[in-house]
Amino acid sequence: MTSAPAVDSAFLERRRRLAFRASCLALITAVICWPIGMAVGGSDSRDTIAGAFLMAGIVGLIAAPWIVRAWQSFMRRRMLTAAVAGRTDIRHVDAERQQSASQAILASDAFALGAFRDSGLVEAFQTATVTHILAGEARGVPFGLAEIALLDAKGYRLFGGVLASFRLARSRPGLTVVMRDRGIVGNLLERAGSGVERLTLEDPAFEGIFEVYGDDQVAGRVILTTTMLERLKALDELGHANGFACAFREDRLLVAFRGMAWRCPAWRIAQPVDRWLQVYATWLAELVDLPVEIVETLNLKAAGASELPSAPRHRADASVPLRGGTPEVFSSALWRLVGEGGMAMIYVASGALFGGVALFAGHYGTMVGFPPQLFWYLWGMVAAGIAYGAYAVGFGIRDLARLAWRWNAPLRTLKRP
Amino acid sequence: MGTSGILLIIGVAAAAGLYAWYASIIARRNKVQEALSSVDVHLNQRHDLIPNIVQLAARFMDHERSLLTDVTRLREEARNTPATTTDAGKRFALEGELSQRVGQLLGRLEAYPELKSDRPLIEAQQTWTETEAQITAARRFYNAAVNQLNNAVQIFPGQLIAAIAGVKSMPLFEAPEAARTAPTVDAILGRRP
Repeated sequence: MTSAPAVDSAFLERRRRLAFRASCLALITAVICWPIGMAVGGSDSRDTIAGAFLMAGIVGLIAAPWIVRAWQSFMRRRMLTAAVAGRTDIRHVDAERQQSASQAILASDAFALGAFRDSGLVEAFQTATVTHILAGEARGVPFGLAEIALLDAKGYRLFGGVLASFRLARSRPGLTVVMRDRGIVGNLLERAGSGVERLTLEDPAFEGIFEVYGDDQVAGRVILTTTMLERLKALDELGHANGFACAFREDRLLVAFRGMAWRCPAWRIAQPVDRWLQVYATWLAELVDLPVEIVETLNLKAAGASELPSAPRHRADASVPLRGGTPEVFSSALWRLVGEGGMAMIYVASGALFGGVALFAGHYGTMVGFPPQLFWYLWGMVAAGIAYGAYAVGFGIRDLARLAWRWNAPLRTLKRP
Repeated sequence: MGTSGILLIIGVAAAAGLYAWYASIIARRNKVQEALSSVDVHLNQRHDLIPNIVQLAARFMDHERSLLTDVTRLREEARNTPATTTDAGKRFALEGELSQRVGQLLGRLEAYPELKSDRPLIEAQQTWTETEAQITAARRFYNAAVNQLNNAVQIFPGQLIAAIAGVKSMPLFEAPEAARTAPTVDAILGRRP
């Protein structure tokens, strides 16, 4: 049974109060300074003072959430360290502070971050931002669990959550992906255009929760025996594993928990730690036990166990550039939408505007007629406007369609073998 | 829009629906053939293992001659039965019996302590187990494909379309009757009751 780790709650309470007061102060500064700055300005001599107030307001506005975030990071670091204290089977690496150690783990046999690239669980990423890693061995199976954000070449976040990797005893041919069931239309869209096929399995309860895709119908079923289906259902019932998706690829079991964060909720800063620390500590202690539970629930075999010759082992490219710390603010899904879709939307709007005006003018010209001296000039303008409108709208829609096609669709964008 | 226009639209929609159904039946039949050939590949892989197992076992199990002969005979029969959609049922029955006999043979090996440490035989047993797992998976693939085909063929108007396309329902792979009864220790070790 999981027990909460022992922590110095008095110290944590002092830090909470300090952070809470600082963030409140920053927020109050923002709330007060902004209207003062707006009120003070108006003349040349007072504009400097007004500017200082406005600047203080901006700083306060930025500082308040930043302080809360820093406190959350502090709590997570402290509590994770406490959760693994005294355990020999698992260790915690603070990737924000130990970049070389985290890089080594993510490229090791225990993890191999590069293996996730073509797993069908996450979109093909370029870089990663890792905050914390849990690595170890359970029943001889090396594993790694990382709280991570995967970024594309432009720095936009493709995945945020927790990735887990388990090194299996043997390499298996093909790729088998177990994802959540998204309904008939959702499932069709999920794999549209991908190189994988749907695997229909015998268990209706399993089929109700998951959808299985693979590039080898037989190899997928060798892995997903009826016993394994039961185990995956059991895994889904574990608190921390609920909502998981996984892939069996070569000698690895790769698991993705999209959206999982190890931080405590921000609003906890307003509550004394005595009220919630125990719950958070127990939650993290259960999280630390999760990889062991996965190994036991799925009955994964230890690497090095006597096995038959198997498919040739291909080492996944482990060279994923890492960035420490939390991802930049402008990397979120909203900014990705703005960054990648914004220009396309401008094209659509501009094309619709100019094309619409040109169509209206064309309609007017047809119904009423243009003055003879401007006839060719105006019809030329109408034609140019319609051509531009069609081009801009088409171009924008094409870019938006491309973005929608790539959006949160790891299977669709999976490279064919 | 007049009545003829509506009828035309209904006719076009019905024709498109029937064609889609026809296409799905053909696609599913092809999937069954793919599954069947996959089963066949793994069964052939198993056939290739049998002479080796029989040869290894024969060195020590002279008085199990009848069992060894049975295994060899069944293997030949199974090999000579084509894995076509028409002969699938017969082939599966033979393969089921063969699997059962080889299982008996491997079970009886336990009675020979000198065989337990025979490295080539242990490897052959492991390979057998692995191949059996792949055959099981291939059969599940076959059953899933057949289930989809049979649904498309048997649900109205699938019967009519399937008859036009010349596609029939396929048999599911089912475990032989003997495999459904729990084996007794005597049967495994070849003792007389």
